[in-house]
Amino acid sequence: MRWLSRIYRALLYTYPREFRLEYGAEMERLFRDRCGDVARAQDPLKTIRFVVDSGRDWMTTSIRERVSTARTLVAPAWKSARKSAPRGFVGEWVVTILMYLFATTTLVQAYVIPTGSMEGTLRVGDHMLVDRAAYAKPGALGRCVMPYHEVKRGDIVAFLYPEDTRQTFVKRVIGLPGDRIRMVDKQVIRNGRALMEPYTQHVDPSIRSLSRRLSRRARSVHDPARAGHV
Amino acid sequence: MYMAKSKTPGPTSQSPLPLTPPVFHILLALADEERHGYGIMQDVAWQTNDKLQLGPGTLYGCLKRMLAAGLVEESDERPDPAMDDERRRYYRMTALGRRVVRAEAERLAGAVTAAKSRKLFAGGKA
Repeated sequence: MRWLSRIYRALLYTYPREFRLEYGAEMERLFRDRCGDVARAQDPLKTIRFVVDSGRDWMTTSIRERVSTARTLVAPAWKSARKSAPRGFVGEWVVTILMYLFATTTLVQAYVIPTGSMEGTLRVGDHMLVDRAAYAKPGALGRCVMPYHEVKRGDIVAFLYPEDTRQTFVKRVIGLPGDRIRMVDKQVIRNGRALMEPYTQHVDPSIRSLSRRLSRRARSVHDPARAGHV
Repeated sequence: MYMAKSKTPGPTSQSPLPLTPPVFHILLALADEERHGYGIMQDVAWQTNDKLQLGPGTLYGCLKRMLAAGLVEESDERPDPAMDDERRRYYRMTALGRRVVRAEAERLAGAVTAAKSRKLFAGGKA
């Protein structure tokens, strides 16, 4: 029961500040008193009911107090907004912010291409969104919700460069672990077969002035070690 | 759910009736004596046969709005020396609160009479 009170004290921080300062101590005391009642009753059903009721009470009222505080703060804007869309105003923003926080940390990440190593497919300055969850190991639940697939040949992947994990590289997968890859006269040969690579551009290091860095990256497209690190 | 509730006039709007069940029962609990939060909660549970257990958020949210609407006020006295705790806040009903709860009770009584006349309600056992 003591840990319940402790959890409740933490949950109090979800209420608006003024409300918490005004009533937080009283609410905590009331909760502790209720905990005592329930503990004395020694009835598991009552305990469960108490926990469920408290959870529901917390959820509905913390949102209600937040909304009512927000309404007093933005009362003029609220008044004009509620005529057209009373729920939309707050709801839309809450959803937008939550989606943004959730999506950028777990689902997608935005990158800008800084080099020309994938020229032809990705150009310098291109913006792209990387699906962060595509290759993630899903749990039993995640399998139903998230589309998941193995790394395939031909996929374009973003990964942390193994020799310097501060850098993120974007490359095309040409081989999977176990594949034998050879390069003979600008032609990549995988498991004894020449690859059709209409997307590649071969740059002669002697032509371009910034070619040393560029060509090293271009070669790494054809490096079988890369694919294993995806 | 919140928006749906706010459509029915709460105690802060022009016409305070009908009251929400928590507000009505809190006023009933304060009808005969001043109480602190835990006391109100216990009395409401007693009134409703444990059907309505006010959680802390509901109770103090309602009290905040009822204070703003002038239905209740904080009391400086400490009427219950046995249970007394320096830091507990006691609440008492104002004259306005008494008028409002009486009007609400009459409104409900009218509804009950109507239900009885249609043989929907036997009285005593619901």
